[in-house]
Amino acid sequence: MNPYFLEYAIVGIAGLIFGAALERGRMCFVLATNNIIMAKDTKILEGILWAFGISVLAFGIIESLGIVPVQAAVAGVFPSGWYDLVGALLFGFGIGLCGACMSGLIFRAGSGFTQNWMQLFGILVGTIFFAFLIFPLTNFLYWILHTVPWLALKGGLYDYMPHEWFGNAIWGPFVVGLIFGGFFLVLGLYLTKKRFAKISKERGEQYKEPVISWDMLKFKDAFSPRLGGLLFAVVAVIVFLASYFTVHKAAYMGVTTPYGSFDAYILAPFINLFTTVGHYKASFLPKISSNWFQIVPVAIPMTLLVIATFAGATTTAILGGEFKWRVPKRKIMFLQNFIGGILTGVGARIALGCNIGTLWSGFLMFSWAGLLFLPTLVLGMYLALKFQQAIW
Amino acid sequence: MAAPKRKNHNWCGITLIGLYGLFSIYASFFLAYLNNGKIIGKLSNEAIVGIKEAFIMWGIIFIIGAILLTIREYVLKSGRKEAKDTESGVSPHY
Repeated sequence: MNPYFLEYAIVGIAGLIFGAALERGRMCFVLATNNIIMAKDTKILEGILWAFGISVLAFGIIESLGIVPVQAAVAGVFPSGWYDLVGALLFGFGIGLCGACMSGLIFRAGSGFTQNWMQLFGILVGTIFFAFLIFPLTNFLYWILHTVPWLALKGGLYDYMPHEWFGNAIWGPFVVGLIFGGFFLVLGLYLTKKRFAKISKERGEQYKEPVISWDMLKFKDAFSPRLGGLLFAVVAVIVFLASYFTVHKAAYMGVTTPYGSFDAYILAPFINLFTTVGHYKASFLPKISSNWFQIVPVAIPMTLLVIATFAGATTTAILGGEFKWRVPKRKIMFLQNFIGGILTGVGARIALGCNIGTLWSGFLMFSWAGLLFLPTLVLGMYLALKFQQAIW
Repeated sequence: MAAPKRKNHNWCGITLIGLYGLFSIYASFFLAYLNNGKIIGKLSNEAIVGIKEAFIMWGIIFIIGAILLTIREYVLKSGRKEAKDTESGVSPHY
């Protein structure tokens, strides 16, 4: 059997599970942030912390046991640097305007929220804007590869914490996984206990939440944060292992690069993306690069995963009786989501990924990308929230 | 007695799933053509063939899924029930 067919066949199943986990678990970074700031509710954040904790720990164990050799795992590690900070700020502001991050976009659009389809359209436009204008005019690739050393780290082993901290020790990935994964899990557990205590106090009786129930499995009830988080992590592990054991390349989760692929597929009958378009000459720059579309593969496993994730989210929304074509009362929200989508698309391309591809996968790669992405992402979302409170 | 007014839009979601399937099949036709123009990240012919077949297979699966959900609609008539309101984007469970 063709190994690529097998890889994509498995990734499609993972995508359906991912869509269900997103839609039933309401896994959205913006919702999590807004709920904390506005309602002091940590439930969605708990799910995200469980997802991060379980998956980071699992990746550490997989690499330490040699199930996926370190050489294969680091082959997919991006370089990290200044662009993570800059891109995350723009990305965070964009998703804050739209009210949905990349995972939130999929489950909300898949559940019938029209403004999130507009956000997706904005991302597609923003990616084209980046690909044909920002990328060649600023010679973006050059500044990533030849930047000042302290502003960036090379990819691969140079940006692999277990190697930086423990050399070639076989237990290195496990220890780093334990440090970060353990932190996320302890924080998730603490927030869960704190929320239970708060509800118990309000109700005057001991409150407990089932991790899993029949109604959750029948999609009638929303997933508990722990179930949503577990499924999130399982998907990342499936994709990682399936890619390695089929085509011998370890793949990490990502969502925004596939949107670039979608642009290419949609435009393919109308524009030749690889010829003259985007070859601009700016004499003050050290080297001219081509447009962004020319340097990314025509498809990565995540391209199919995103389509399957949309399908999974829409299916569970229908089965759960929650699919509804929802149009915002204020039509200006379409414009806000379109502009937010453009910022999101450009920010994600500058940061080489989104809250899934750079933040979550950054931790899964044990690179610095996740740690660099996180603070400015939160700052961007906070600024967008304050901006909206000021103008609306 | 006339059927109650259908207030949710399951048919719309089912159409979306069908469209995901059609998009997968549509995209599969351009993989080889787009791959030829790559400077970095060019995939092998084996990869393109495998990915193309997987895209078509999943496209067909999504379309079959949409058909099954349509049948379910006619059998259960679940589309005539009011959809749970998730106005804020957060489930009523939250």
